[in-house]
Amino acid sequence: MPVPYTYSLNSIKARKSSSAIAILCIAGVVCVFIVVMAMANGFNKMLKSTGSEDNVIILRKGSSAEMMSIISKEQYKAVGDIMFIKRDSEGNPLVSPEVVVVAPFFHKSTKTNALGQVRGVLPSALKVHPQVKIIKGRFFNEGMYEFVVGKNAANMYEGLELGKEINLGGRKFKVSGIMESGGSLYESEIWCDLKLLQETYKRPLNVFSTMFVKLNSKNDFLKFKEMIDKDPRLNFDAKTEKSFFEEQSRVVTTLIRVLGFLVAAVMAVGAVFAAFNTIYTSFASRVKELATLRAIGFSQESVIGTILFESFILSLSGGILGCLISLPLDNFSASTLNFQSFSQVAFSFDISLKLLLEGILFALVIGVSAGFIPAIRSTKLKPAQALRET
Amino acid sequence: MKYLFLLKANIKRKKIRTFLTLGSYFAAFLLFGLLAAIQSAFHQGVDVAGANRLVVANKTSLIMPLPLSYKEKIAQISGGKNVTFASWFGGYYQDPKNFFAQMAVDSETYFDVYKEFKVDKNQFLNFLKDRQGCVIGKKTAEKYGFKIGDRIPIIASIWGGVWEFNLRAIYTGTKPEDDLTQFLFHASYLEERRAWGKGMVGWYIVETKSPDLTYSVSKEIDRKFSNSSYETKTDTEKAFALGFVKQIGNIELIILSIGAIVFVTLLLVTSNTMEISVRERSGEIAVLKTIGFSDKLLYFLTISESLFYSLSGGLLGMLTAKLFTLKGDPTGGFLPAFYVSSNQFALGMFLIIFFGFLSGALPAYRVYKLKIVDALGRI
Amino acid sequence: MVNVNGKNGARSLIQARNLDKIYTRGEEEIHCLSGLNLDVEKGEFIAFMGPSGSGKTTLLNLLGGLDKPTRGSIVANDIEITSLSENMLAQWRAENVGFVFQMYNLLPVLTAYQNVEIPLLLTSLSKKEREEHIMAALELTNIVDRKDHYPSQLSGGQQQRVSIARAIVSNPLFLLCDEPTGDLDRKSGDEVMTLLKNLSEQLNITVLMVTHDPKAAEAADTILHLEKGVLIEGKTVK
Ligand SMILES: Nc1ncnc2c1ncn2[C@@H]1O[C@H](COP(=O)(O)OP(=O)(O)OP(=O)(O)O)[C@@H](O)[C@H]1O
Ligand SMILES: [Mg+2]
Repeated sequence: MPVPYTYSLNSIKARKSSSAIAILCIAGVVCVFIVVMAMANGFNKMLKSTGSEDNVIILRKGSSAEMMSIISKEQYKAVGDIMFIKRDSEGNPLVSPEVVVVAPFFHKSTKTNALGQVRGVLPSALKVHPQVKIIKGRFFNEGMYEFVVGKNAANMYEGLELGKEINLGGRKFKVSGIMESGGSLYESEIWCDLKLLQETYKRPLNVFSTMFVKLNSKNDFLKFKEMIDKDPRLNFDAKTEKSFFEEQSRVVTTLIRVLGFLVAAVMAVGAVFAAFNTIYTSFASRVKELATLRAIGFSQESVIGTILFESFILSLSGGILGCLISLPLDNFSASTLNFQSFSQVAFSFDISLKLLLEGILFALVIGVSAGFIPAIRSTKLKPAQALRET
Repeated sequence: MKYLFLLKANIKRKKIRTFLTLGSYFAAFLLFGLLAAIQSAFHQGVDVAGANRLVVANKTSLIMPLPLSYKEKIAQISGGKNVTFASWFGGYYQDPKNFFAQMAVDSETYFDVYKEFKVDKNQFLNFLKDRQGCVIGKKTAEKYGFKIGDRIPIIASIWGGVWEFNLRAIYTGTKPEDDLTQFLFHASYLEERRAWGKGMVGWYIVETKSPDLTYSVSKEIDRKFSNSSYETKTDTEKAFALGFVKQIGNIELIILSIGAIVFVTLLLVTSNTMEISVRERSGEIAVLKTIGFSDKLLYFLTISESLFYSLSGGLLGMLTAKLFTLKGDPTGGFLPAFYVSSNQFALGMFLIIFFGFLSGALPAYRVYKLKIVDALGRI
Repeated sequence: MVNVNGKNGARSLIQARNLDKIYTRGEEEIHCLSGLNLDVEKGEFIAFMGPSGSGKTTLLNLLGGLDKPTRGSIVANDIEITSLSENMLAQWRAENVGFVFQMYNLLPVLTAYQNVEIPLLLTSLSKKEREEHIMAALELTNIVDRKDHYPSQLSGGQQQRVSIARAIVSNPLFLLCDEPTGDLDRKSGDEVMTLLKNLSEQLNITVLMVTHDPKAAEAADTILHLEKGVLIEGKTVK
């Protein structure tokens, strides 16, 4: 004969404070689990989506960051003639000359000026960077003082909302659009018209920082690189966009991976201890009550069932609560320093339905297994013995 | 302590519960120790900043260079005592994962400004005599087993090629937070060998005659170079480092706040456990009171039990964290100062005792207030 | 000689005068004891009897300083305990009263020996002296061979003997026993009663005991009945 499930529900209600603490504690555990995983997911997404393998970045030899590189117009033209470069329908090579500078913007969460990367491009740059999508507004118009702001940059800095105007090098730029690029580093950047950026920064019009080139196929990269290396006019490094961005974020990646993992591991252990402790404690103090149930005539299995059912309910409630608490953090933007260019990079927390379910599953596993020890113990104890225990 | 066996009996009463409570404290303070180490790693620059040192960097960005010719001009400014400069070299030893900072420095003056770095006099003279000589911090030397006289090849990712250096001196620090990982060599060697960027340096460091002068000297430097093609931004070393910490962004904040949530949750749990175990024992406590144990004595015994858990679990956690940090920087070089400082350790100890008291306080108060007649009636 | 009319002029060991105890439960008032008088001399063995709910436990609580009367006073060995503060009462109990409960109330986590040691922790005795006292008490109660057992390893009678050892170890002024045989079978109950009687006769220990069992009450010198809030003298053996 099973113990009626209302017994479990009543028992949860009757022990309000310890049930509440158990639920809160599990909610905390789940919340931490989800936040840590969401951060890791968001960060991995940024890394994975940053840069494709058929895009090649070309920098002056030895430049560790794009803004340190210098490329002349002649060199740019020369590169355009190299084979293996993809061409558009009109036969123009897909080459994007770009100027990269950093400029101070007011960082919302640290409340100071932080350096953001500003990239001047031609409108045709979108052909070389097809992963860039405008999610709000439109791309800038050629010859207009307009910004297209990466999604994360818009979250990170003050005054980069759509339609707002902001000062850069003494000129007012208007935010015409917000862009997304699958979580890549570009989402931390601000793009504008190449020529206007050169003018604003008093740069010669025939000098760029870097070039991006789209190849016919990623298999052509080595051959393409060889041609660049062989050309005496070009003292250039060619790297795939992917490997370049990996280099750029190596410090950040290591920091986040190692520290994040370290802290998350200890926290997970702590959280498990905490959840175990509350659930276990709340049952262990009830051995007598459970023995009474046995004495009345309920079977061992049904008493175990009751305990597990009760811890299931507690951990399920805790799990759901934890999900609710962490939900507002979806898309929360985390930012840090790109140690190569000393500009800010950001990525968003990514809370998916799958992650929420995993969080609840995590809660149930901890909660129910914590209920197991007292459940098993209560069966090992003979009812007569248990009743005598104080 | 004649009451010790009472405490011992209570602690052994429910072994699993004791284990879980100790484990909770252990995890909480292991976490605390690691977070402390992370914090000191991020703030290392701030901690070591000299009160009368200024950093002069390119106004646009730290990675943009300044002309070498500024040295003379900065030296003329009154209030300054020593001027030196450094440039980022950006290479690696054998594998890009082997990260330590290499800098080309003005070898004659660098150690005059960074007085906390100690170098043996003879070694230093040997370094000055050798064009390809280098000075390495003790930590890096130990990590890679470098000995005086070794020839060390560095792969130069910015300048290209393999550059070889002769280890002539090893510097040590004066404080635990001093950065002993740097690899320093002659700026003249960099200047001689690099193909471009000649005549430029990374940044200047200026030592003023007294800390009071830092403000006026920094203003004077920036004024002097305003409207030149290389404008400068001069900050005290501390402000510079703090700015850098802020640039690291809210990652630190996120890690620390998640840690704090877990920390508080764990303490909530230990308090709850203590509470439940006291409630279970209310009959026994009433008996003790009947026998003549005073309310105060029982209050004290309950708090002691709670303190026992926090002290043994917490200390073990802190020591584990300390041991872990003694193994060195887990990122393999990006955080030269990954350590639990004695201040942080003291704060940890304070928190252990504080939370031991706090999680024992409510249950102990319950014990204090417990009425014999009510509790015995409950048996 | 025990006396329940409050007219004993001389100072006796325990002197209770005009005790009232009123419990309030919400609106309702329960007059549990009303104008109770009691005088007990040193060395007497008294049994209190009376129907359930008549206030026997209440009376023992008052005499043991666990609770305060609504009105009236109790003087024990020239100390008016009804006017002591909680803290002073605790100290007074430690020095003067030994308690024996129906449910033994030993601490389950301590051995028999350690349980008996508890009251001595409140004295300034050295470890060695404590050991002497404990062993003496355990010998008197005839439970030395079980001194390292935990309560859960002892029978009810044995547990009760340990609890009596705990009650006498600090050499108190008097023992208070609330139904000490209530939870025991006939045989163990008889053993406990013989033990209490011996303690009273040979060591001249004062014993105040509540019991429902007429046979147990026979061991006492005097039986007092608690009725309508006052004590009425029953049979006197001596
Ligand atoms: N704390 C209390 N609050 C209210 N009423 C109480 C309280 N304690 C005892 N009483 C009441 O006082 C009366 C006497 O109780 P007491 O425990 O002294 O009886 P007793 O003679 O010892 O009974 P038993 O033989 O069943 O042990 C009872 O009616 C009881 O309900
Ligand atoms: Mg009673």
